[in-house]
Amino acid sequence: MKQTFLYFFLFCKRLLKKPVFVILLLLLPIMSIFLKKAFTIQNVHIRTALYTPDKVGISANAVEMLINQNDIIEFVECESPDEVRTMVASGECVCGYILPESLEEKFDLNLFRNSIDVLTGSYSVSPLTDEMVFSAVYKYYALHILDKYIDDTGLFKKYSSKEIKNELSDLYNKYMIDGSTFSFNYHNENAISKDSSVLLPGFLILSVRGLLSVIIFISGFAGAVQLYRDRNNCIFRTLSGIRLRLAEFMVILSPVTIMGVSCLISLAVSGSTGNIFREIYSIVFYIFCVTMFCYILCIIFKNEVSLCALIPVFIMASLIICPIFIDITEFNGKFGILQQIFPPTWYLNFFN
Amino acid sequence: MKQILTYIRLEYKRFFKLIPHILTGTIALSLLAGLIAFCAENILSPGSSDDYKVKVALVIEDDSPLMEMLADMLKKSDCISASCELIDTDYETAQRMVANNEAAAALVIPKYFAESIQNGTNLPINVDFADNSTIIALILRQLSVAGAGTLSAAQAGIYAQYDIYKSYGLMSYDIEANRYLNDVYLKYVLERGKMFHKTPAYPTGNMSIPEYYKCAGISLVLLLVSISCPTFLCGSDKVFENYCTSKGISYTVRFFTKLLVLSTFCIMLLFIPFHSIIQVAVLIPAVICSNCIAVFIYRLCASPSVGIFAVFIFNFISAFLSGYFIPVSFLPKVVQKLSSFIPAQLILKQVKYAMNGGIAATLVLLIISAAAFFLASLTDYMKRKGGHIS
Repeated sequence: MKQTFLYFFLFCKRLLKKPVFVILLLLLPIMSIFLKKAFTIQNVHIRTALYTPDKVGISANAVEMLINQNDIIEFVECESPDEVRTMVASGECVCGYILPESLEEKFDLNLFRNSIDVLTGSYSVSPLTDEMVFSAVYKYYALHILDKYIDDTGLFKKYSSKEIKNELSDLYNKYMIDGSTFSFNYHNENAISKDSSVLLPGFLILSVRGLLSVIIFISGFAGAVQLYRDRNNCIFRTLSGIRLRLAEFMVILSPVTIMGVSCLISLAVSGSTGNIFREIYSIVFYIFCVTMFCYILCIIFKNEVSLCALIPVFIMASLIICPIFIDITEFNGKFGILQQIFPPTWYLNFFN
Repeated sequence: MKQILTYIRLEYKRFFKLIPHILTGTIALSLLAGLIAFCAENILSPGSSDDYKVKVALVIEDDSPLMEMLADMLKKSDCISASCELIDTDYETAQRMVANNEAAAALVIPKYFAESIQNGTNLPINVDFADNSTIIALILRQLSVAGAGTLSAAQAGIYAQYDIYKSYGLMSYDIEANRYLNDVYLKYVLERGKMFHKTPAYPTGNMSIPEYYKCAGISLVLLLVSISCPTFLCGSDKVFENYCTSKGISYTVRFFTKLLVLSTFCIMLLFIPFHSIIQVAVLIPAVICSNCIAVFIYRLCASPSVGIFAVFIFNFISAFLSGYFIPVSFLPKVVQKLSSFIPAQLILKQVKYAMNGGIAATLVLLIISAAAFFLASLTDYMKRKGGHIS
């Protein structure tokens, strides 16, 4: 047993003599702080892009009204239809509306069908924003209908058209703001939570802990590659049986342990830790599992190159399947079984 | 010449002995590419707004037939069904649901509501929000404000018409005007859905998301297939290299032989997704470019294991910057501009052109990239040899 600990100590010492490894250990906590900030998404907004070529008229007024609203669904004005498309395609806006030139004429000529182009993005709230855009357009068009009807009846021919229009506009605006029309009474609005993170998609995780667990997993593979080299260099030639197995196990355990400790410190530094006892026993369990996993792979694959060819596949699969960036089980529950194959999931399960 | 052909034959033989490993690796990569495509499609495909839905307790105290019709219209409207799940209930139950956070809000339509709309008294609808209901309740609020705005606009128009007719003594024409305005206002409200012409704005440009990720998957496999045959691609030991040189098999011949053998395999693989010879022929420059990169990187590395990691890291980063995992439109603008020069991006473009038909300007750029990597590999060999090209 004493000898096993000695091997472990010597392998750790060997690792700590490698400058690249030490630099990586020191960079991890800094990287974790940076990642924690990057992964914490605050003030999520739902943005909708708007464009109209008109500077006056119903479209222009509707766009101005919408962009001046200060509400959970924000409207932003774009300079061109291409900008609307770019903003929607890049995910900056959930959808975009392109209001045509002289919209009121299209309405007057009964050509309003399909007059407003709606570009829907990856995550569309279009039924909701359709209603909001329509309401803004309708608010100005309703007055236009009234003006036009008054003009067409000819009943006010003997009066100044401008005066009549102004009078109508004043009356219309008065009724819009004086509370005499239909409205909702809202109670307890201030009690609504302002936490906008619920607006993020359900499958999005962005876990610093998850990323660190993959780094520990990679260190296990690095240990496995080192084991092959040590076997080739015959450093275990004097050992046999259980002693040989333990010594080989220590080759993999040493980088995993050092990396595990560094990752635990990184989690603490970035403020991602919870109960300290749970953190410690979960990381110890994970270190042991990763070491065992990699050692079993070393036994199965006699050839270093074969294992090395599998490593990129394991890493990429871990990043996609394990709940690190996304929760793949949100797309299909059966992926839950596939998740259990990868060691990072075993560690992350402690915290779900 | 005979020796060169013998060398080529022997290299093919050496490669095909590795076929089980290579095929296993290719299948694993293909599965991974498929998984990436599946995830990307689920993340990027235009989805519903179901995540923005809240439960709302609906209390209708007005039992008039008109209210029944209005309530039916309300429940069937797209915006309501997209934003909330309405639960019909009584007032006490609604208040309890809100108090227990079983519903985000309670919507109470008072008695004689429909009649008040008709006679102009306009009783308001009360909305009680639950304590700590999520911010999604604010979406409901914003939507209801918009809905109220629509109805208010129609009412304001009718009231303004009434007032102006009254002040100018034209009340005999009021009924006709009122009927006309009601008809027109209602017409636009009922047909408002037809105003909008919807088209998806794919983050993947002109291609649909499944097509885009099929191309990205094929490109990724092309880039990473060399990971499955590192011992074949890695530089041979010096004794063998000197022997080859003495037999007239120069470094250039050895480089092109490895390229030829690996490219043959890749071209055979391409017949799985592409069934047309023309489509596969269009992709030959992409295959040559990706394999030149692999041969060059393996050439630089001391051992196959190091070569695997070097190829993986280089191609993974290139693939990420070229939009293989998330479309380039999501990346910062600087990255978007730089990525157009990355070979991985050129390979992806060529695969897209093969999928949609045609030959692109990337053909020339791919050949230039392949030549650049060949020359870089040759230069490295010359430096190590310390002499002329042999």
